[in-house]
Amino acid sequence: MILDALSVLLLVLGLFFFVSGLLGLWRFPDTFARLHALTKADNLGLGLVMTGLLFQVPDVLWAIKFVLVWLLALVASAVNAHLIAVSLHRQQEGHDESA
Amino acid sequence: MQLIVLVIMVLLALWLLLTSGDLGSLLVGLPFMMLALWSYRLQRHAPYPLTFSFLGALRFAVFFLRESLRGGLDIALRVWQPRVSLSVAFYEYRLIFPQGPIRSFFMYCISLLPGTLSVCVSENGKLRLHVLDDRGAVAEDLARLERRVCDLFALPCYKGAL
Repeated sequence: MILDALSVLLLVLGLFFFVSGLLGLWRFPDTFARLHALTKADNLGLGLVMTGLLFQVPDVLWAIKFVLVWLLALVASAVNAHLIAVSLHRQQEGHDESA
Repeated sequence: MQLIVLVIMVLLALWLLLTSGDLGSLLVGLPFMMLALWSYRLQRHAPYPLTFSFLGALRFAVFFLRESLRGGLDIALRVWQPRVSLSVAFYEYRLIFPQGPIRSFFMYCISLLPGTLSVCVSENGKLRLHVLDDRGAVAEDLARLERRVCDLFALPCYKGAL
């Protein structure tokens, strides 16, 4: 019962950070700032959701799986943010030279 | 050659763990393992041995979790305000890690931690990053992360660098 309540609390908190990330995507002024919002807020949001789910796992293997999913999502989000940032930076530099 | 075998074993273990040991799913998993191996070959840097410290890893994990919390809260505080208050800027930081896995790790951590985003390594060998708020203590945050990364990989600390 207490574990269920804890799960719900962490899931709601996680969702709050996912919504914050989305709101950042919408409200932040440029692409770089939006990348910040997505990487940081989703990192924490997914972490909280996965921690909330940890209280519901049937065995240790599932717990490892959840942690692994979080870590893999972190790697994917960091690599994606980096690739978008690099390509945007190149575009802007090219634009400056032609201007 | 031994390294390749090790990487294949790790990838296979990861896949089977994620799919709860469903062998049929290797139909999807094997091509992606091949892709991962191929991308691994694309790295162009002199190989260097990697060392890890167990205590360093623990300290890094605690640090990373705390900073993730700080980074998420920072974003949440900014987006829920009536007026978004940002002071975005580009920033340059000297890199102490040679090109390779440790540098990549450092750069990815920067992107996941509060207010900083790795962009690229510029021609002068410095790391170019984007900061959400240049009124904060960017250099101190980066130096702290750098110390934790050194600790994780059992490298000598650069105390004087701060």
